[in-house]
Amino acid sequence: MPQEHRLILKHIDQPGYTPDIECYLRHGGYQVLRKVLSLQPKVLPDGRVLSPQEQLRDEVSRSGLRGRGGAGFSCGLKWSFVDRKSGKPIYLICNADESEPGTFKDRQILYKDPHQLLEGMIIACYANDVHLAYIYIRGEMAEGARILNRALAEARAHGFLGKNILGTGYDLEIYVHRGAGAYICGEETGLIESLEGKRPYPRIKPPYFPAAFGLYGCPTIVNNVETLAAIKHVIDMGGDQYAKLGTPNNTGTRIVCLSGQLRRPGYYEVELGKVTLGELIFHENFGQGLRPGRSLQAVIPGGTSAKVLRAGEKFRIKKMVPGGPLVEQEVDLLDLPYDFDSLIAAGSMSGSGGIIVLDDSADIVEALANIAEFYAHESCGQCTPCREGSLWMAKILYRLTHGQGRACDADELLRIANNIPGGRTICAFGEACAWPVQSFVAKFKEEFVARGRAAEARRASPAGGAGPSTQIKIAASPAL
Amino acid sequence: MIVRRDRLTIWERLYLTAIWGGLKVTFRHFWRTVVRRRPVTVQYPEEKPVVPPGYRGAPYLVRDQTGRIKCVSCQLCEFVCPPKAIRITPPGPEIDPTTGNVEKRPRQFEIDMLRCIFCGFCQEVCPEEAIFLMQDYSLTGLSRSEMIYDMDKLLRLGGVHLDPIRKWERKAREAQAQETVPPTLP
Amino acid sequence: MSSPTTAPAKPTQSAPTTPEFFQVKVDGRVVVVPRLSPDWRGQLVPTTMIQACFAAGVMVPHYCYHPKLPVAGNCRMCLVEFGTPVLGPDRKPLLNPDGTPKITRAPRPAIACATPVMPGMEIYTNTPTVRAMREGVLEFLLINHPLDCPICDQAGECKLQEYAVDHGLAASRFVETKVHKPKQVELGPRIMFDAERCILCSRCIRFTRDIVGDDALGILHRGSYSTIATWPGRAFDNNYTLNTVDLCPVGALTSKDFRFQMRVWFLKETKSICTSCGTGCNILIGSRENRIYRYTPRQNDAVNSCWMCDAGRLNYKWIGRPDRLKEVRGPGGQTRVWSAVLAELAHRLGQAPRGSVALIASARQTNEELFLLKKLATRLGAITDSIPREGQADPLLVSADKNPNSLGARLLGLCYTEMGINLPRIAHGIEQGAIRTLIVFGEDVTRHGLAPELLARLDTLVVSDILPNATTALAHYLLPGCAHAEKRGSFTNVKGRVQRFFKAVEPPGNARPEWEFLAELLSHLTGQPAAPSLEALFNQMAQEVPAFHGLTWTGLGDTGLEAKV
Repeated sequence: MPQEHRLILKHIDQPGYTPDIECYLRHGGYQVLRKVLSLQPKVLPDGRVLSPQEQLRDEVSRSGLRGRGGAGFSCGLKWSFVDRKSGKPIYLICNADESEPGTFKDRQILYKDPHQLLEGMIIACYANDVHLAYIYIRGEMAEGARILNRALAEARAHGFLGKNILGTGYDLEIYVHRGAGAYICGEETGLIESLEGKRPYPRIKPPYFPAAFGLYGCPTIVNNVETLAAIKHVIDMGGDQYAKLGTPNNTGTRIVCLSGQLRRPGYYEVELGKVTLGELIFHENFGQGLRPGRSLQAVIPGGTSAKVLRAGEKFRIKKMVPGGPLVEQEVDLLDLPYDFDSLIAAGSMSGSGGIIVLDDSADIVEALANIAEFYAHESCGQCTPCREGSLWMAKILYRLTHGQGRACDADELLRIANNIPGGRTICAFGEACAWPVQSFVAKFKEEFVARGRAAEARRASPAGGAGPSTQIKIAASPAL
Repeated sequence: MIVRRDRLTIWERLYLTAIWGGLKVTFRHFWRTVVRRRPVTVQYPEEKPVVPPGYRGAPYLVRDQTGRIKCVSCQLCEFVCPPKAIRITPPGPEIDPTTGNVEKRPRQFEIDMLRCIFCGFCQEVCPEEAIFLMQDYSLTGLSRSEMIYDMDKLLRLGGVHLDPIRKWERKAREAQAQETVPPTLP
Repeated sequence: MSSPTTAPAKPTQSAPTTPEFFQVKVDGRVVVVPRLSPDWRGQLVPTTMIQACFAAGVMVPHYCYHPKLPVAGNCRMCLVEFGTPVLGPDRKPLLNPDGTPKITRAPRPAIACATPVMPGMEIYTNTPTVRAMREGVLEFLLINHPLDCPICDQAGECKLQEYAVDHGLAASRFVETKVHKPKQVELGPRIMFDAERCILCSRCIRFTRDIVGDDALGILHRGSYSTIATWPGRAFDNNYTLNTVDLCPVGALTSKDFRFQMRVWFLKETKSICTSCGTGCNILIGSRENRIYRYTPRQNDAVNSCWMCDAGRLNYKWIGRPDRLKEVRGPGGQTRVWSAVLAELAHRLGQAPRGSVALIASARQTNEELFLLKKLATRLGAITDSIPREGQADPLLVSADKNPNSLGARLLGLCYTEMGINLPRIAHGIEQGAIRTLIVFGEDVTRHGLAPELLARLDTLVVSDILPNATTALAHYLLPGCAHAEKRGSFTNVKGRVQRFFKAVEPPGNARPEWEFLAELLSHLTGQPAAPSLEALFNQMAQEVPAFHGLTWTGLGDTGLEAKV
């Protein structure tokens, strides 16, 4: 029976649960922090001594926790890259710039249970010798910033933050920094640039890997809100226990955000790999299916940056056979387990956890035009392919959706989109703006071609005519 | 290679045969000119030969249908002209408000018609379709300096050339439509 | 033998895992590169792939990269593919059966300007993927680029044009409306900006912020609508703004002074030296048919890197002034012929008693001219001096010494270290009547203590100059000279670097290079033949003057040589 496994969202939305610290403490809050701060160095059988920080980092590595922000990169591995020998201070930044369309999970934690995030963050800071941390929250969440600042003040008042936390001699200060309305501030180096007060132009890697040269040139860890909230649970249960949740290499739980043309959109916390996409969309514990009389057309499984999956598509992925090893099978879209690896094997990604469902009433060309306009608007403009390509694709899609398309526009879109991702841009925004176009046009080619052909036919007919168009010199045949 | 020299026949060796062949041509021309009254010559200057389209006559500058001088002083024709017959004085840094978004117009444009070899390279290279080799083939003057045509003369002789593309006007119109910055689609 | 109180030497650190020099392959060509190379500031940082490619003679197209600017990596034009050797468990490269190292091709391309090389790396700059990437980047740059080539000043030296020909597609597939941005924006008092042409490489921003230290430029708006602008409240008017015109790969930033003056392919570019101050920035004089249109800097890492100041750059118009001195004048003011005047002058000077001659040579004359003037002064027993020119210096290039050859004047013995210290003596001498002959080269001495009434007392006033002034008006013998652009020669800059320059335009009228008629004058005086050419004259000077020992004219090359100061 597929159902939620509320770990992070355990208390959120329960009646009477408020964001203040008293409520959090009543529900056993900050006990994990106390435990963490009282850890002693451990002597191993071979004589090596593990400091409390090393033990904590070990737990996180053993838990197999993967980043919940979009990339799904192993958290323990990310922490291990930090340059601890440079002598420079190490910073930790909580990425609360939740801007991926279709994602609304971090705001639940920020607005309804900020202390869970803070506890996880303080533990993460302690584990990495961080004494100054920031929460970068998107500018649109003004109320969220207020809630966080209030929570920070409460934590300070109770001695969980500030100098000499709980008398252990560990200092940590956390500040909230508000963004100013740019999606690119969700990119870790773009976020760091914005935090430094500059325009959020992502940095080139190499050499500016945040683990070595991050905020102010110092080693920096950037983690998502949900990841940091999960840290608390990892340490609470122990890494090995946490790893038992979910499936191998896709451990733990994750909050998925179901949206689109469903009966019951919303956010649900599930164990990774234990529910399928079909269950998330149709099961009564989750999306409860489509509206009456509608059939599924497409699913975007990881926020609009992820490649779209068409209804009825089959994928060859390695699936766990009951009682046996991993076997490569052909799996239908709806039977895809919802976890990082399966979705990557299906040619998409789990991304930020936002699942957008499109039924057959959705106009695919309009949907892609909407997505492309977003990316054209949000491109920072630093590097050539994304800056020019994103607007070009948006303009072509605008033409297609306003009756001025051409039959060759579908191939044009693919050709342009193929020139943007794959290392040709500074940051992953190139992939983010190109993958939707690549996947929509490739999988729904007939829609785009038909739209273009219809427009051409209308123009060619005596009644149609060219119409007032400030846009283009409409060629009867493509330019080449 | 070995060239075969065929042995001439008796008729070919006879001198008179060749004379007869030549006389045939003469007689044919005689018949054509005198009897059929279609001489190959033309009574120039009362009769003028018909100049075919595409004829490479003297190069002149043109205006478009709104009266704008199409030349923007890019100096490509000056560079490509093989005998260096063209001499252009660029406009210089003073901003000329009458040029609008075209920004540039030559201050002086001279073609030395005595140097011009009517090759047509200037027309071929011109990116603005501003210079064309037209139908004039007879150019006369009483001094060398008279044969250096300046911009006024070139424009007068060049006349108007219909421009269907209207690139600069179109750019200006599009820029005006995008007045709000940053513009939203479209 | 070290004394027992010396501390024992520290044990050597373990050697770094990468050796100081190692081999990389660029398109199959092996090249040895150092592990570290100087960056834009001169600090040693890991060598990048683009530096390795240049060392191998392979040109990787680029826009935002510049060896003298911090790396930005945003144009994406220098994307190349590469492979790295596979290391075995013993950290040694694995080998193929044929002995060549096993290479794993990197799955993603990398920008050559920012990615460091490692030993055994193979860089591929001409694969079909790399070619397709370049075509892609160029296509993206051209879709919103205006069709301005006919009116754009950058035509002929535009990197967009060049790379489009070499690496781009032939036809456009863009049928949408281009993004329109402000054009003809006066970004500063000397810079005209066209936002549509801008490819947002950010070279201008980095230069102004990091090299000049004046954070004046930035980008407004975002995405395709990004536009370069001055930050609100800031002006783009520092003394180095015109270098951004050189840096700009396209015609977005153009010089207001040079705007629409001449197409660059007509300009003859002559190597020369700027004469506006003692730094002696290396320049190229762009001229056509004896008219100078612009100066642009030449790279000389020992003097001016790739830059020059705006004041020096715009200081060429005086060379074409219509009131230039063109004719030789003799006593009485009549126009004379060189040969006759030089002979007459030699005779007259030869008769002047020793101690009655003074010679004021300008520190704007070339080394060779000053050498000949010193010979003349020695021959005549003349008291000599120069005129100092002091002004404002700046931290980057501009020297406080506004004479281009002060050090030359000092080294060649025409003045003491304290220039101008002899002027009062000369004035006094004229007043007393002890000095009856004064030779002035290139200075208006009425502005430096020798009033016209004083000059009127002289028997012989010989003046050589280029523009008329109060001194030339009083001259008995007026010998018109040449600007530096009209002759060849060398200057010694404030740091002691001897740099040569060449002739770009013809002198007006009958003006002659000073070294030429001075050599002739001296040969009349001494009876010895003049040096047959400038090269011979320079080499002679190098032999006779201790500071220039070992220098030769050809040895000066494009970047000059240091004198023994």
